[in-house]
Parts: sequence; structure tokens; C-alpha cells
Amino acid sequence: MRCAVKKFSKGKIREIYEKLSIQQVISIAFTLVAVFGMLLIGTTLYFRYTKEIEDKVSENNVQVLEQINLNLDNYLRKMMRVSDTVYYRGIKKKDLAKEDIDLEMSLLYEENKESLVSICLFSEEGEGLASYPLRELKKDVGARGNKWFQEAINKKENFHFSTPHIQNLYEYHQNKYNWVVSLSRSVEITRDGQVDQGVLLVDMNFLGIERIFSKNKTSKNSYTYLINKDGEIIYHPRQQLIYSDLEKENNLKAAEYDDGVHKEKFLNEERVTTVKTAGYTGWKIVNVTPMKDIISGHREINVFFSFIIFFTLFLLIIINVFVSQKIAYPIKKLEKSVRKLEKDIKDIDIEIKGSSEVKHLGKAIKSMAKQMNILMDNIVVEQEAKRKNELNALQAQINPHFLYNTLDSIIWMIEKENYEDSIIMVGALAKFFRISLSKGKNIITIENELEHAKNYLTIQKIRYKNKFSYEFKIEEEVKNFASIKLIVQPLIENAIFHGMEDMDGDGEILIHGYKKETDVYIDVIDNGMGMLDEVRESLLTSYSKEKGKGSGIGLKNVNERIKLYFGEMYGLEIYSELDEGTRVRIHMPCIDIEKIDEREFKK
Amino acid sequence: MRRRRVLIIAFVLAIISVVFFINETIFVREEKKALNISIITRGEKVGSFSRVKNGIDRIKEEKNIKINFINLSEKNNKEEQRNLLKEELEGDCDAILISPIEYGKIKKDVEERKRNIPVIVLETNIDELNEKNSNIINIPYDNKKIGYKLGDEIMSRGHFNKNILVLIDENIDYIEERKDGFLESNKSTNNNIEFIKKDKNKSWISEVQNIFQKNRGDIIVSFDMELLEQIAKIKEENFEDSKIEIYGVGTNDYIISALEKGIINGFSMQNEFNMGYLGVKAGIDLIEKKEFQNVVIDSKIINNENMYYDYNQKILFPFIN
Repeated sequence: MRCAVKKFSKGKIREIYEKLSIQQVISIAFTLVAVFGMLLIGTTLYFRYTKEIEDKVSENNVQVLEQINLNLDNYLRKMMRVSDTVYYRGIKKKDLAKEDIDLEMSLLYEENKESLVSICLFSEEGEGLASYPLRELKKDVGARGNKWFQEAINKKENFHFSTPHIQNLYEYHQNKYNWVVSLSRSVEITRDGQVDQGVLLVDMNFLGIERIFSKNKTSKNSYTYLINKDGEIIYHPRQQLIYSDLEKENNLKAAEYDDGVHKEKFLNEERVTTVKTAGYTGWKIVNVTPMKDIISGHREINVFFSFIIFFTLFLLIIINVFVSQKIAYPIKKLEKSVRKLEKDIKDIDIEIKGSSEVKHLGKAIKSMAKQMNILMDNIVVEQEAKRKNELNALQAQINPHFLYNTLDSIIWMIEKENYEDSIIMVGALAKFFRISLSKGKNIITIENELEHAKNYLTIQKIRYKNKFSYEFKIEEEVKNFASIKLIVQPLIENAIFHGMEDMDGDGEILIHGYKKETDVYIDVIDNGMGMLDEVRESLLTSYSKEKGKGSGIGLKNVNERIKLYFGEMYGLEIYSELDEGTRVRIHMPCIDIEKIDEREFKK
Repeated sequence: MRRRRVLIIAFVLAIISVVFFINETIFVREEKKALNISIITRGEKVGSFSRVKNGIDRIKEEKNIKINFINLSEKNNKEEQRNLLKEELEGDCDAILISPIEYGKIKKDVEERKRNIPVIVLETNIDELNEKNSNIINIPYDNKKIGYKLGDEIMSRGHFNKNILVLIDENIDYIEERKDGFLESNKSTNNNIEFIKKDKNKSWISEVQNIFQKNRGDIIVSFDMELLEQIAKIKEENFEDSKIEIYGVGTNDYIISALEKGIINGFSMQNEFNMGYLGVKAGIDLIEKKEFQNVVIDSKIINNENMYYDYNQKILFPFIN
């Protein structure tokens, strides 16, 4: 099936190709090469450009994450310093049963209040010992139940950063609830000389973290978020949308990524994810740049490329048109001349232009055409001469027998002292031969031709002792039309010899000349014996004639002469019925004799 | 002839590329016109709508839109809401979000509006809208479920034989739905439910004070957030030791605080942030001829024990960047 399709398409292409002109072939080939080249260059440049942009974006993302990491690290270290300061300058130095640490706390809070929500100290039992600025702890605060508290108690040597949560330790007089990230650590508390364990809590607000992240946008739709080791979101620019299930984030997967650039597909979107792990906390800073930003972010470049491609195509099309025309025009001209030559148009001016090969070809064709014309003219002259010779040869068949028989009759009449008839006969014979000769013309008027026939009938009527009668019924208008010499007389001769010779009664011959549409007809009708169909059919195909009788011209001879001169559509038609008679019809075109004379003169 | 045709094609190509170039480099940079979206509330101030507003503000940050909040001069004034809607339908806004007091009152105006602008019906569930008109979207709370769950919450406290006073505004669609759900969940109890409707000449304050003073019931229920806040405030200020428990629907910072203090015993919290966000998103999607599926906003019963659960606190305290 595939093979058949391949074959078909191959055949179709070849068929189309063969129908194309040389200009079209050149234009199409040039354009295809140009388009293919442009596409190849365009695609290569596009991929190269995209790759480069991708690399640049990745590089930029890494740098941005480095910067964010640095800022975040500073921020967290600042918070740790706050915690350290409260611990080492306040808690550690003081006996909390006798002194408070409000001053240390307030100073630190005021200094960092943009980043802080509160600082407070809890005993191991979860009892609030000191806090700033929100001092009123809830009645059933339940600090021990919190994760940040347990982590601080369980891992004493470390700082612990929580995930975001609502701080619910205090009574809020203004009904204000804060999302915080808690920094907790285990501390040693001295009360009445006794050292106990406690937990110092520094609640950071989101403003500081948000500031760090929101300022570092790498592209229109890119964003950076922060997760902990387990992938829980600490900060995300669309945090509430994620919390409300209106959006999803690939944070759990991102938690598994190593630092560096990763390509991922999330919710049917290709994106570049860059990950950087923050030092102390193990948090991961994740930058997400949608691939569409990388590609379509450089719209101007794409537009510029498209413009260049369009414009180059435009130029190439114009060049193609001119080049292909320059090449094809002389060839097309030459081809047109050859076509004219094929249509027998003479005197063609063959242009010799274009490249040297085409010029050479043009010269060769021109010389060939010239040679051909000479040859053709020669052939025409030769053919004409041949035709004339044939005609003359055919006409030349008439004379000897008829002359011999007629003269014989005249002699016989003189011997019988029938001088009157012999005079008429000699006169008719003289006229007969005058028209036969017609100054060498082959074409005479129908009138003359019929006159010639009359003379013949006069002679024959005498010879046959009025055994037959004849009548001429000729339309006036046909008389001046052209006729080939000696065509009616042989038909009359045929009517006499074959129609009436063996008849018992008197023979009748009617010569009827008339015009029908653009043709002229001369019917020779006899009431003789008629003939069989086989005989009728053979009359025009063979020279069957009885030797010694008539003028010597068969019907075939007449038919051939008419066809030779006027064309194949003209000639003789024979209609015959046994015992009824025969009608032989001459069919010729209506041509005025003057036109024939002009033609003959030109020749 | 052919040469001319080719030249014409090439010329057209050149013109297209120039136009394309100019269009892309100059005109495309022009910012799209901001969409005007009107939001018709059912109250006097946006405050009662604040969490919905948080969601709206969030989407406003993402999209090029202008939001026009239209409040009533008097809470739940149906005629006024209808007139305001009419004005907006005849105005030049691109979409309307409305929290209908009684949908029947505005139904004709919405469905037979001359300008086929998107209308998003919030809060109240209108069944007939779900299939009827593609340019009207319904984003309701499941009010019946809210009422039902509130009844369940009261039962979960062991209250099967109590006097429950339900303070109710009449003929407000979503209140009626919540009432139906509440009654259904209480079917299996011996609780005596008394519906107290507001006297036109009196304020709720005197009615509520009267309840506390005369200790008229064991539990007060309100299906309206503002009324719930009012009841809680009266209790906190004047009757802090009263044994009357308070339950209701809707949340704000005061209600949360009252819950923490034990003044309110439980309430149904709807994700109003989502309502605002999705409401405007539906409007934008319809303007931009995108498809938007009807959604029902989820609700949850919040009490003193579960309010700081991880999921609950994320909804209860919207994280506004």
C-alpha cells in the first residue's frame, strides 16, 4: 500500500514536473532552495538562541538564588544573633527570680521590630517567664504542645526554625493574628540560684522573608519560594492560593532535588527549576521559571527573526523572478518560433538572444528553418509540375481513337456523297478540336465545355444516324463557372456506347447543368440499358473500356482529373437502374473562371 | 502576466512583514484595557465582605482589572440591591458579581438583561442557573450543609434537649437554606428550636440583650456573620458569665478571638477567600469567552479545639502577602 502511494506520488510529481515550463522549474527550484535554506538557518539560529537564553536564564537564576540565599542567611543569622543576645546578655547573666530581662528584650525588639513579632521565654514546663512586646499570655497557653517547643527541648544544642504558623500564645486585644516563623532554642534559666532548662522563642514575621523573595524576579512569570527539608512551604508568593487549594506547587518533588538547575514538567507546564539549599536551616530556595517565559520572553527577537525571514524571502522571490526570466525568456522565444515553424508559418524571425548556448541553438534552428523553407518550395514546384504532367497525360489519352473513328465516318459519308452531313461533321470536329486544345488551357468555362460536348454529340448523332436525341438544360448562372476541359464529353460517350448502342428504341440523352449551394453539378442522363451495381462500382476504379470505341477517356480518368484539380470531395457520382437508364453526375465547386485565370496567371 | 502575479505576491509579502513588524514592535506593547468588574454586596460596608475581598485583591494583583465595590445603604435592602443591579446592567462594567439577598427579586433583571455581560451569583445556591445560561455563573456556599453541620456541632456537645433560639432575618435566600439544613439535623433531637425574627421597630441589640437578661434559652444560633459578631460582643461586654452558648456562621478576627475566649462556642467557616478569587476569575473567564465550571465553596465547623489545626488555620487566617 505504502509502496503504491509512493509510486503514485512519484509519478504525480514527475507528471507535474514534465508539465512545468523551464522558468517555472527554475523559479520553484530557486524558491525551494531559498525557503529550505532560510528554514535551516532560522531553525539552527532559533535553537542556538533558545539554548543560549536557557543557559543565561539558568545562570541568572543561580545568581539570584545565591543572592537570596545570602540575604536569607543574613536575615536568619540576624534572628539568631537576637536570640544569642537575649540569651547570653540577659538570660545567662541574670537570676530571673530577682531580675527581669525586659530591657534586653525591648532593646533588641525595637532594633529589629520590622522582622520580629515577639520574643519570649518559657520554662521547661511551658510557663511564660518573659515576653516582649505581647506580654499577656493566654490562660491555657499550652506552649509545650507546640512543635517548636519540643524540638528545642529535645535538641538542646541547635537553633530550630519552624514552618509558618499562627502564633496563638498571647491574648490579642486587637484581635490581630500573625503568621510567624518561630526560632526556638533551649536555654539555661537561673532562678534563685537554681539552673533549669527553658525555651527561648523568637517569632519572625513574614515581612523580612517576603522582602528578600519578592525583589528577585527573574522573568515575568518566574517566582521564588522557600521550603523546609520535608518540602513544606515556608514562603511562597502565592501562599494563600496554595493553602486554599486553588493552586498547586511541586514543592515535595523540589525537596528531593539537589542544588542546581532542573527541568521539570508540572501540571502540563515545562519549567526550569533552580534549587539552592540554605546553609544552617537546610531550607531550600526554589526558583521556578516557566519555559514559555524563556522562549516568548524574547518576543522582539522572534519578531525580528520573522521579519528578516519574510523580507529575505521577498528579495529572493524578486531575484528568482528576474534570474529565471533572464534564463528562460530566450529559450521560450525560441520554443515559440519552433512552434510556429511546426504550424508551417513561413518567414519566422527567430530571435538570437540569451546565453551563448541558447544563441548557438537559435542560430542552428534559424539556418535549419531556412534550409527547410527552400526544400519545401522546391517540393511544391516539383509537385505542381508533376500534377500538370499527370493532367496533360490524362488529357492526352483522348485524341487518337476518336479522331481516327470520326475521320473514318467522314470518309465514309463523302464516299456515300453525303456532303451535307460530312460538312457538318467536319465543322463540328473542327470546333471540337479547337475547344480540346483551348490554347493549352486545362480549365475552361462550363459553357465551352458544354459546347465541346454539343460538337461531339453532333458528330456522334450523324455517325449513329439519329439513333438518339439529346437535350441541354443548363442554368444560365453556371455557364461562366470553371470546369476542367473534356469531362462532359466522356460521359456522353459512355452514355452512347454503353447505354444506347444495343437499345431497340430511340435513345435520349439529357445534359442538365445546375447550381446547388456553393457547388455546381452537371448530370448526363440517358435512358439506356442501365448497368449492374458491380459494373457501376468498377467504372470509377478501373480503366475498363472497349478498345476502339469512343474518345478513349474512361470515367475513372474524368473522376481523377476532377479530384486532382478541385480536391477529394469533388468528382463523379453514378446512379443506374437496369433497363431504366443511367445518371452520371459531375460535382465541382462554383469557381468563377476569372479567378482561375488569375491563379493560373500567378503560377 | 505571471511575472506580474509573482511581483504582486512578493509585494504583498513585504507589506505583511512590515505591518507584522510594526504591529509586534509598537502596537502590541500597548497594554490591554483594564476590565471593570462591579461587585454588589448585600451589606452596608465591605468589612462584612473582607475575606471575600482578600480573594478579590489577590486576583486583582494578577490581572488587569478594576474592582468597584457597591454596598447598600441599609443591610439586606432588596429593592436597593435590585436598583443598583439595574444600574450596573445598564452601565459600562464588563462583569457583575452579586451576592443576592433574594434571587427571586433580581431574577428577571439578570436573566433578561439587555447587555449580555457575565453575571456571577455568589453565596446563594440557585439550582436553575446551573444549566440555564452560560454567561451566568453560580458560586454558592453549600448553605444547607452549613446549617446541617452547625446542628451536628451542637449535638456533638451533647445538646439534645435544649432550647435553641435561632435569630433570623426573613426572606434571605441563603439564610433560608441554612435554616432548612439546621432543622433537618435537629430532627433526631429533642431540642426545642425557636426562631426569633427581628422586629422592624427594634434593633437586634435589644432583642439579644433581652435574651441574655431573661436567660430565655440555652443556645443562640445566628446564620449571619454580622449578627453573630453582635451577639458575641453583647455577651462579652455585658453577660460574660452567661451560660448561653453561641453558635453561628461566618468568621472574622473578632469572631475567632471570641471563639478563643469561649464567648462563641463554634461557627461554620466558609472559604470566603476562594469565593472572592473564583468569583472574579469566573467573571474574567466569561469576558474572555473561556469556560468556567460552577463550583461550590467548601465550609468547615470551627471550634476551640480544632481552630489551630494545620488545615484550619490556613483557611481561618488568610495568608495575605
